[in-house]
Amino acid sequence: MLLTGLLYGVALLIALLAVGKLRSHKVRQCVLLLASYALYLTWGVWFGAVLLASTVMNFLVGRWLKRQPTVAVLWAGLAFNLALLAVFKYIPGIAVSIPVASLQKFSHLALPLGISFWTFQAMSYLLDLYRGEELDPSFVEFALYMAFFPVTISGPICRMPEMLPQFRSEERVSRHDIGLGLCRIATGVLMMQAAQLLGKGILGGEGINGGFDHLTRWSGLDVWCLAFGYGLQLFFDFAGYSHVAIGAAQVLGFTVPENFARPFASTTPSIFWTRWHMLLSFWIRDYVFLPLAVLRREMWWRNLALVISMVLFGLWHKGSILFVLWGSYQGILLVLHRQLQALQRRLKWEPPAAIWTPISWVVTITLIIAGWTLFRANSLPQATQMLAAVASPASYVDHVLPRSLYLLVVGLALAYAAVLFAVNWLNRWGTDPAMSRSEIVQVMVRERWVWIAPMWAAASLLVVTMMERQSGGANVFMYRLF
Amino acid sequence: MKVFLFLASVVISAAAFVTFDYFYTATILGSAVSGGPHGFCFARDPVRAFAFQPNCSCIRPWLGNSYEFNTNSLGFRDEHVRDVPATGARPRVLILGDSAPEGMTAWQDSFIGRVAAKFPQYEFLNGSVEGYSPSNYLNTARKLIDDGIEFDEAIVFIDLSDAQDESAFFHDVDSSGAVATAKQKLTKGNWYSSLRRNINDHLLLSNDVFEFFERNLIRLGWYHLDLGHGGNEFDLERSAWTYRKVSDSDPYETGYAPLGLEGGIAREKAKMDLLWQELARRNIPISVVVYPWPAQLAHDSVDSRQVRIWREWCDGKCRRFITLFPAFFAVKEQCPRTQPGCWYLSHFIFGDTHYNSAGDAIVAGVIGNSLTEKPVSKHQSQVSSRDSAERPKGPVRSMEHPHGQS
Repeated sequence: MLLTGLLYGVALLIALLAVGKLRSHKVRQCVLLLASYALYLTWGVWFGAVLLASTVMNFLVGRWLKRQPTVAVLWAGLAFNLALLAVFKYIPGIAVSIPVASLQKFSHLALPLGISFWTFQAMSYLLDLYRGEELDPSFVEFALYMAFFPVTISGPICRMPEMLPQFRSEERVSRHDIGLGLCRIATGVLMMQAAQLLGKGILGGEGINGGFDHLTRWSGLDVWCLAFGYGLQLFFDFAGYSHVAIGAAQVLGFTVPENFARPFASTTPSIFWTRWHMLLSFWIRDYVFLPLAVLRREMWWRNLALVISMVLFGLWHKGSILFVLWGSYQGILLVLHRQLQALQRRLKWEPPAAIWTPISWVVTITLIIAGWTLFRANSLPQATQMLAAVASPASYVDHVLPRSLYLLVVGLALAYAAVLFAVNWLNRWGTDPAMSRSEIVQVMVRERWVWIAPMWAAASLLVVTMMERQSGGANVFMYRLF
Repeated sequence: MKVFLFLASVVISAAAFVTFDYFYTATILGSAVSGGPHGFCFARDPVRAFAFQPNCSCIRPWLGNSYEFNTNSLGFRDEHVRDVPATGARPRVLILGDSAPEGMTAWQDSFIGRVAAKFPQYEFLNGSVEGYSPSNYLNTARKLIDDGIEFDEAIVFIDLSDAQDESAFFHDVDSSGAVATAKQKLTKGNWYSSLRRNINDHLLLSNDVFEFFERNLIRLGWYHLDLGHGGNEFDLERSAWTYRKVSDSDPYETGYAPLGLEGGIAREKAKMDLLWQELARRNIPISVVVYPWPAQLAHDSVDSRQVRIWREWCDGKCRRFITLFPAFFAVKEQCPRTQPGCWYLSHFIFGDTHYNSAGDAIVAGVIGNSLTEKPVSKHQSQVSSRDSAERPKGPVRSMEHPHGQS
């Protein structure tokens, strides 16, 4: 993890120097592309070859599609990308679980880093071209779109219409952008550290990972703690990485779309899915759900399209029955929410927001948390056993998980909530004329990182030292696994 | 205003860090292992002042780690609790020494444990106890002889701290050789020692931050490590006598009063003479092993005064004289120029003068080579324990729990 971070930092520095010193956008593109490939190749030459092959193939299909925008050409391109995903991502998993001789040769194939992300970017490019978007990237521009290092490993999933004008811009990077970008990187690093701490726990082996991987019996309370803890861990990890990616891009003068927007503040499942891994969510909405939904007008079909879309959302992570179940569960939640909304409209029932919103928030978050059990469980029997414990009132009298994990999960959740409140207050103070008259408040609002930096350093040191005390288990960015 | 905000934030952040660390440490230490039903297996002893309880099993903590500790029916550290018969089918090797051969780590990692595993044709009786010195090496051997326990060779690990223990810590209570320990314990300390000890004891996370810098400074060859437990680990009074002057007037443990350094060394030799005579009467060969502390590797030479004293003493008496100084100085020389202090980090328990697993492996290797070169054989002539009746016997006066002594 440290080496990855160092290499990432070196690539960022080289790219920053190139972007800062070079005027020509074409030369900039070449330097950024070289830096991106150099970084990608450090994870494996074979990975780089797969990325390059996919880039060349998609670029050629794109050219073909521009000349001949037919469904057949589009499907040829999509089939290529889906085949790539199948070969590297899904068949190895199937080969491990199904002992068919012809599949065994795939079982040891390593998953090229970020393949799910850059393959979806390639597919969105083809779909946009088919829909008539005016996109005319050069090969270098397209290759950079596929390999742009801040987002290659784990997104956020970008789209060509957003990136192409930025690749071609000759504007210099402002110091303000560099400062903001670095702050976001710092925020992201701290969040990722918090995720690792949740995984490992305060005491060795007493983290979320141990709770899922080493226990064989759970009480209802344990399952809630593990599921909520895992949701937090996943959020800190992926949202933290997204901060780093967006920050790194910002340092280089690029604006990459946001991927998370306070998902735990969502008051309905529909809102949650516009705040959690938003870019994949929007991708699925734009390229799967909407085309499917317009095929028939009946409500049942729209609901089915929603469930199918969410199943695909689940399968994007991994081809396993648990992700199919998790996707179906999320799809059913969305459908139920729609039904409830329709019922409210039909009955013309508008409950007071002061009561309804907190209830809705609690129900939403509880249901989303329950779903993380399916997402993280190691097997279907384990997930079944855990959910059975949740449903059994008798199991709530005891707990197997160590107290330290309960404390850690609650402590980090409260700390995160406190940070959100603090940010809200600061933003409010910044716009409140009465408050902003005070000089100290003005400086606190304007120059946040002057006083946040020592707090960040202390928090970071705290997390790092606590993790260093524990042995074993490499620190792995979780979404790299998808 | 910016500077004020920054400084205020630094103070608040540091305070928050320390507060969190304090409670975190209390939680961690609260759940740390205790000795178990038998405490830490120590017992008062009428002759040696302190010893291990026979057939005892416990968990012993040592500098942040803990390990399983077992004694046999003789009250000697062993792999498992077991009865040791008076005679054995295999040749028996009696090990005498203090904490180093006792092993402040799991049995299988300790160098005696390693040697025992490599030479199953021998039975090792490890009579080492932390804090012992030649007076008690002698008393332990006599006790075995008195109890009729047979052994075929005694290997004595003479420790650098034995000189201070003999001059200032132990004194004979009568002519029988029974010992009592000094009451006075003076430790030199300054504000940093005190701060460092408090951090070490109450703030684990802050301690890790300090340790990070200390490790890197040591790696760079800055031999200073004061964790507040008796001074600089690289220049402790207990081991400094081989390369600098020590106080003959200060009492234990900052000095060597009442006997003074030379008096302590003379007493060491005298006790070892008695041990040799006791064994020689029974045709049991004696061997001596000397080994360096971090201080010797940092400030002394391969031909340290400790090595010269015991090589000279061994002349004509010992079956084997083994010095581990060359092996450890060779390790030191292998450190790259940019990291001259790497030997300490790689071969010693951090914050301690004891060897870690890698250091123990070196000791085990050298001892093993010697045992291969000159195997231990079962000898026939053992003089009856009745002979020991000639020795004067006497009462016990002072006893002290030695935990923390080396």
